[in-house]
Amino acid sequence: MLRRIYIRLLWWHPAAFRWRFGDEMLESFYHARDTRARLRLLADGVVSLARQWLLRPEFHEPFDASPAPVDGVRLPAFYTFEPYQPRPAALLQGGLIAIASILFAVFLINKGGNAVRPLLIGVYHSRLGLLPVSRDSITANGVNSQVKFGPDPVDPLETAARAYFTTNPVLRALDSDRDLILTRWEIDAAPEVLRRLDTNHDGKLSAEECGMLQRAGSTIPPQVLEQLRARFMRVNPVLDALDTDGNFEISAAEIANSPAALRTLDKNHDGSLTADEILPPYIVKRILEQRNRPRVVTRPWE
Amino acid sequence: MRPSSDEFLPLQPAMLHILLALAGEKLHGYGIMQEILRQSEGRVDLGPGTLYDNLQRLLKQRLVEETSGPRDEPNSRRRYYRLSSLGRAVLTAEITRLDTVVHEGAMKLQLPRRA
Repeated sequence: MLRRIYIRLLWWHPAAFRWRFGDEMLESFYHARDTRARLRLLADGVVSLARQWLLRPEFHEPFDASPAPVDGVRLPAFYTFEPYQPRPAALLQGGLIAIASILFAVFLINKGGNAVRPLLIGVYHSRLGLLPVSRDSITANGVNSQVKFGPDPVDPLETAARAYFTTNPVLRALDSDRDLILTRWEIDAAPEVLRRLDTNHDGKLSAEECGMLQRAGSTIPPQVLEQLRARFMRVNPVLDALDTDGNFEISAAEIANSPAALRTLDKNHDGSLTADEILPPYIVKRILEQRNRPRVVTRPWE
Repeated sequence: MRPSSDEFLPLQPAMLHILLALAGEKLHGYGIMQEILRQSEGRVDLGPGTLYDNLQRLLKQRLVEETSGPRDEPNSRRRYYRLSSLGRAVLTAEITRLDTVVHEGAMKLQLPRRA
């Protein structure tokens, strides 16, 4: 009960604060020894809520907390020296001067003749072969070029997870911050989220409410439809875990017990569910095989 | 341009304790609370709301920066924090200032100073 109230209190904090510190504050609550300590944390949460909304408007937007650049090794960055925005008239004037300067330079290049040649970069070496290439080392026959591909810049597991989370309404609802990870926070909020998916208000979730598509007006025989529902619930690990009694629907009791059911998928016991724990195993296996396959192409030298 | 450490003085007590806790090693939020409790011999028990409120201000002022966790905890969702060079300079200036205050107070009240 106290935990639910604390979670609710954290939900009411500004999004930027909650996103950055919510998980850790909840972790502190889990570490509380007894009811007295939890009540103290609740009071601290109420004060924090008031403080963040009333006294910290500057932190309602996320900010960059990355390490500051070391002096002398600064990365190039654009910034203004003054804290205020220049006047629109000044911006317009500056823009016109810049355009006029460019036009003047183009005019000089076209019409200036030899007078501006010394100013043009590369004009004295504007021929092919500027950088001579020595091919003396290529003497033997049958020299091949071997191209090794590095890791794919886009993780295929992440791509698959994004598609899976987008098409599965249960996962889409559970993953409230869209980071493709069900955090401890989101797992705890699962009962409330799942109840919102109950569109016919019968207290339980059918396969259709969990995302099984059925064409309007289809005439699938009831026994085939039942098999399709069973297959749909079994093939999705999250739905399979939630449906603890195996009747291919998620009852009110199973919704209430959903945090514990979801935690059974947490293979590495880190408190959160990542794509490799959520996606159907056959998809994860195929992606991992594809990702670990060495990609080397050998071509004859041309 | 890097701000002067004097601009941040005097530090609020909670901020001072947080900077002190981070002076030794990088810590996550709960670790900071435990370290403050240890350093103050149980007298200062910061709640998470107070801790993270001060932490976000210290992050904004660049006195503290986020860093990666230890190698044996690569997949943890915990965020680790450490003192920035500016934070260390500010902490040093604050300790020097407090030392002056303590010295002056001990002289005025004729208290024996701890070795």
